[in-house]
Amino acid sequence: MLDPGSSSTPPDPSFDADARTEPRDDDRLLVLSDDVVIESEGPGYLVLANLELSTRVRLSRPLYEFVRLFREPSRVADLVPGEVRQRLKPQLEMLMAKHVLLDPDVEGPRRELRLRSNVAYRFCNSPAFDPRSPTDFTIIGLPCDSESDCDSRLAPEALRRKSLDYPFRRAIENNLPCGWFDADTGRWILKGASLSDAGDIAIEHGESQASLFVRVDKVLEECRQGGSTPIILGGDRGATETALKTVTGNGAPTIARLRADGSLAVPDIGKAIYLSIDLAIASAAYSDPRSKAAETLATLSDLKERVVALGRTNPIIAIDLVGLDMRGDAGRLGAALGCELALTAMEAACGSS
Amino acid sequence: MAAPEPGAYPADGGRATLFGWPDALAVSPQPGSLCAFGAPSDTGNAISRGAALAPAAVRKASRKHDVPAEFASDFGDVDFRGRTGSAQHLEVTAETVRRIMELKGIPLLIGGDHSLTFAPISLLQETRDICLLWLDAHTDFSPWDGQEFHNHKQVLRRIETLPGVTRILQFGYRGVTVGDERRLGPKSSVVTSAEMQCRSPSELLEMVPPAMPCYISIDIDVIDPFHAPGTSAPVPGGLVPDTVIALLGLLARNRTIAGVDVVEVNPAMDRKDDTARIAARLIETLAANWSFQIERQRFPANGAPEIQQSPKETAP
Ligand SMILES: [Mn+2]
Repeated sequence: MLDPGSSSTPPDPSFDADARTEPRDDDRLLVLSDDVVIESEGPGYLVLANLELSTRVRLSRPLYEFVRLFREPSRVADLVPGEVRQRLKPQLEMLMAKHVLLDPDVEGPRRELRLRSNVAYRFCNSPAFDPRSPTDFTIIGLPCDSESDCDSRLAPEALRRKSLDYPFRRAIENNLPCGWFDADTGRWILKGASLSDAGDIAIEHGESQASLFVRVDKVLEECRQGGSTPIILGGDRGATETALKTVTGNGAPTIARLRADGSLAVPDIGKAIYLSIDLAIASAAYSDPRSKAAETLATLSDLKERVVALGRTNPIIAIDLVGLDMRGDAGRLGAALGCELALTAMEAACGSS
Repeated sequence: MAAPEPGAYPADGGRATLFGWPDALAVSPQPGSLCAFGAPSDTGNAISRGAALAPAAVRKASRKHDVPAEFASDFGDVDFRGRTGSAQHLEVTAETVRRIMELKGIPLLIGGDHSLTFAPISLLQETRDICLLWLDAHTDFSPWDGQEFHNHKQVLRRIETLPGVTRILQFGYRGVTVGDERRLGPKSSVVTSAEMQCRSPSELLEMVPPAMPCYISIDIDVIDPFHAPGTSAPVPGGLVPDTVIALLGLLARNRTIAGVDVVEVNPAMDRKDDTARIAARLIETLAANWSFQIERQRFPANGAPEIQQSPKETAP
């Protein structure tokens, strides 16, 4: 029989004292969790991780050898003698708390869905979102596309990758954001405006809108703290409906849409607006270079002027880019267009605040 | 020189020349001819490969056109086999340009990526001052510190250092950029895509000095990507093809053209062959008006009168 306790940390004496008075539970059946993998190892130790529950634990090699014995459901009493069992008790408790060893008769905890997931690139290579230091704008990906036949789950990634052409920079002399130059309008935009990227809202494909809404609500709430304007990278048009509910609260939502045909409806002057940009305009222009959408995009400077003018008459409290269909080559052009329009819309929001 | 019948070249396989023009290997071009050659290299493009496929795609797209062949010739493709790196690619491209110049031809480079433009311009500016017309969504003016490192993003900055390039006109700069690129130095003027849309082709022509030979470098991304999507760095808000065609027609009739290139067509990213076809139409516009160039070469002192309208302007 093994004595794995000898090489690891000494058991807590007070715990041992209590344990002697408790009823014996050495007869309990324990089994090694299916979700546990060896994450890393070093001299004399291994780190086990429960992938499903995101717990991890560092074990001495003898203790690891002991844990391995539970590949088949086993009783501690059958594996180790009495006095060793007593010394092992804290480790066993710890292994159960970390969900490495499970009691097959007890239902385990349900996995909490993560709110946000990490992304490969951050928009304009801006800093990662930090709730302790809010920025003027916070980028959030919402890669949902179950509400339509639009293939948009990779759209936030495409927008972020293209946005690396427009890196976010701070000036060395005053540490202020440099902004960008817009050759179409001949103006500098977003000078002094800070931004950060909060990654994507975690999506469980197949879940209900209601279930997704809970997370969208929490994440947007977190990102809007400190007065930051959220920039939502969709997602299909369903993303707008979901985010709008949170942003407008109980108030009547006023939404200004740049539509797929290139039209931009101007809302009542003075009303706070949620600006939604439908990047299906790219697919429309791509499939027919003689369409209204293509005409609008060929005079992009005019369109940009209209978006900026909107910010002068209406406070813009949130912006989204939705409907970027990544099927076919229009997606590449749509991502380029999306970056231009996102930065223009952010400039418009600066003018409005 | 008897021009072969258009279409006399094999439709598929073998050497199908641009517009069915005479093959320079078989027939020496007449002095002053527009001498096309393909430069199938895309190692100077930092974003994506694919522009190396353009010479074949543009030649294929050109077959539908009927273009005068009396003062035109096709030198085939530069052979880049066994040549690696931008320096070697420029060297071997320059060899073809030199051959064309010896025959008193006007080089027409079909790229390939934009870094290749350095080869013809560096040779042409050795014997006379030239004005460079750079049609491009980008200024291609990224830092270049004199090292061997050379690509499509900083090619114009390198060209700007050449003493014979005395004037640079950048037409088509647009979109959101990290800095304001409208001032590229004392030789250069920039006309943004948005500004171009507010001017007539004749007004744009007036910016090109009438007395100096002009080299025209056309990055296909000067055209709006929804018309010409087959290019690696698309920027929305570009020119419609007809605007560029009108300008090229005026240039061919009213300025002396020292050389031309059409670069950055990427057939791997094209919508069918739309972009290659636009490239072919741009070249067709120059070729259809090339008799004016021959005229200018015959009577250089007179300086042909300004001709704003021409029956040879190609239909859009
Ligand atoms: Mn270029």
